[in-house]
Amino acid sequence: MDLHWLRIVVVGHVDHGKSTLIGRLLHDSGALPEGRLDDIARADAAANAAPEWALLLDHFHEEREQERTIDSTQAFFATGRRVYRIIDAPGHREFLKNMVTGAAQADAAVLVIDVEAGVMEQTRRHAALLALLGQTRVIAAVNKMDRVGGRSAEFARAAESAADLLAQMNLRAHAVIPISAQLGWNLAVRSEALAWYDGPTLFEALDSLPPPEPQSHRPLRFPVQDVYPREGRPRVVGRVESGRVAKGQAVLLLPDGVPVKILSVERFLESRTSAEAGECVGLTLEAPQDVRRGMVLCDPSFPAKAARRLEANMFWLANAPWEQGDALLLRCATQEAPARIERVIRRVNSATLETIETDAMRLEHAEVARVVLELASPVAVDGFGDCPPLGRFVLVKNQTVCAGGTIAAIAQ
Amino acid sequence: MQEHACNENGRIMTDLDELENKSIYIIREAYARHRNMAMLWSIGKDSTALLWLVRKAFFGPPPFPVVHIDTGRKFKEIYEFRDRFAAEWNLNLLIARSDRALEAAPSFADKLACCTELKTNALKRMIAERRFAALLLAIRRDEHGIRAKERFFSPRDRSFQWNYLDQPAELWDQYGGTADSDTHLRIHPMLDWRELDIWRYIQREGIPVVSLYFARNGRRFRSIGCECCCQPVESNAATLDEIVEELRTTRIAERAGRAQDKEQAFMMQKLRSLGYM
Repeated sequence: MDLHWLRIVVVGHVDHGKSTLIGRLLHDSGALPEGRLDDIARADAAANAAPEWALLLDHFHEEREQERTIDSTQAFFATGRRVYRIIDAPGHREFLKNMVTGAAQADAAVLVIDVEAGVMEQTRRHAALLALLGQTRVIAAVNKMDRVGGRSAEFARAAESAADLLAQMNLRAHAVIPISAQLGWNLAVRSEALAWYDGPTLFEALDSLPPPEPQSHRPLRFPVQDVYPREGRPRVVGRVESGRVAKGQAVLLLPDGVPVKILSVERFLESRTSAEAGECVGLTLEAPQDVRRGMVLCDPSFPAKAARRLEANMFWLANAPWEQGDALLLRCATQEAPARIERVIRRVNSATLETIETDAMRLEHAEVARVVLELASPVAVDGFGDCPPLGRFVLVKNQTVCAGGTIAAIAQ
Repeated sequence: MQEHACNENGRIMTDLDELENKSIYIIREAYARHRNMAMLWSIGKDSTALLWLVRKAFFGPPPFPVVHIDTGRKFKEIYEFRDRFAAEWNLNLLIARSDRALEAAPSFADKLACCTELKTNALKRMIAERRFAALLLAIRRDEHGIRAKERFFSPRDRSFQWNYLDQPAELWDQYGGTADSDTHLRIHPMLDWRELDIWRYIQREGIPVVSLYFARNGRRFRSIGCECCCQPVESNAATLDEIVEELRTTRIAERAGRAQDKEQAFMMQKLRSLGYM
């Protein structure tokens, strides 16, 4: 295990073989505990369904009866070189929020495409959402090669349409691999039936993915999560989202732009003077004002910007549509602000990628849009490309997350 | 695997560091949103590791109660461990125990009824009494297929049910909003951990665990709960190092010794949708 672990989400159109692929990966990598195959056989006997690899992942009774994945599932497997956490995302449009929940946690994606059916509605929608989520590392797996007798011409056709789709999203496939999930072709081992293919197997392609980019070299962003009182100065807790914090460091407290000094960096039972991106720590600060949840400590040379109007790309996840005037709450890292969508510049069908209308008054489930957001109070933000943690947000309505998005620009 | 390492840019995060920090973030997020919360401590290895993370999150004793659901049927080692560390770590320990149900003595044969009465209903009463808005639980995705479907913040409705067919979206560490007054949230800071990660963490941090986990006479418990429903597995792993080594190679499922999972297909789904942990 010489490589850092990775989280992989498996996406694609319904019935193109996502759950089958994961079931087979678990089996071929030796990750299945003894008895799991018997387990399936027993559950099957009760539900009267044919045994399939997909059943290793589909654990709800409803999923097995209806033979479809409802919610995302995670499982673990290891190649010789690293541990993978693999996330199974449902392919049905109605379970889109489950797919997004899975995809947002991943470091890379495997897009599964049925060689006969080719790129379909959810293939396009999932690719569009991967792009919006900032998921640029994608492996395309052209599945069910056994159904076309392993012929290269059929693979080439599906591979080309997959490449076209990804190019449309400004994504590039890390690899495009002919596989049969059912028969285990080109997963852990190279398939004799696909001897014409000289690219990597799925395991090889996964192992060649670079680890996630470290965030420590970026400018400091420390969103305050909470403040714990104690005798003397309170402890300000949070996670270093990017950059690093150190004792004695001068930083800027946003959104007000007040200079403060870090007096100490603390972790329980450890002696520390600094911390890196990804670490949860407590700080004591010399500050001219009270520090509260939602404030953000920033590098004074490259601070985030306090903004009240944002231009953003977003997707609408709620079943109920958005209508003009809806009162929303924006959450960005630990910040919250009442928000409304001031303008829908462009409303896009995420499955066809066609613009439905400009200056729209309404957004439906699963649609994507370019919008201008107006916030009731200033929020410290970055462009998504510059600093993802402060460049992405969710919108909440009736205490439910109904949309997610990334910040393209600060609107004037 | 890797130990704490340094390069010219400072510390390099190991996989255990990542898991630890993510869990601490979720624990603090829970408390930031729900001051009136509690954590469940079964005294098993997972919830003891969770308790360790909670102490790290708050720099000492948790600022909320630690609840032990006591079926009265636990191993004596569990009770001894609980009382020792509740005192040592200065915990606000609450015991949820269904004395009335214990007198009626639900039959061991009907496991669904027994778990529901002694665990789920005892917890229900405790939540109703204390009006907890949120509970921290140490469940992990790799324990059971049904737990793999969980969210970090998972709402339960008034009647305690888990609406697993319509779970909230969860992205970018933005977790479910405030719970309505008639619901509570189950919060799962350790979903991403595997059994092996828990043991490697226990080993790295020197976290105390109940002695039942270590092999005696060729057998040890991999999962502990009620004495009547837990079976030891064959093992010679008598130290932390040996347990970690055993788990790297084993093909036996962790809960293989737990009766409640095996009784019938989908029993765990039924239990969980009714409010079981």
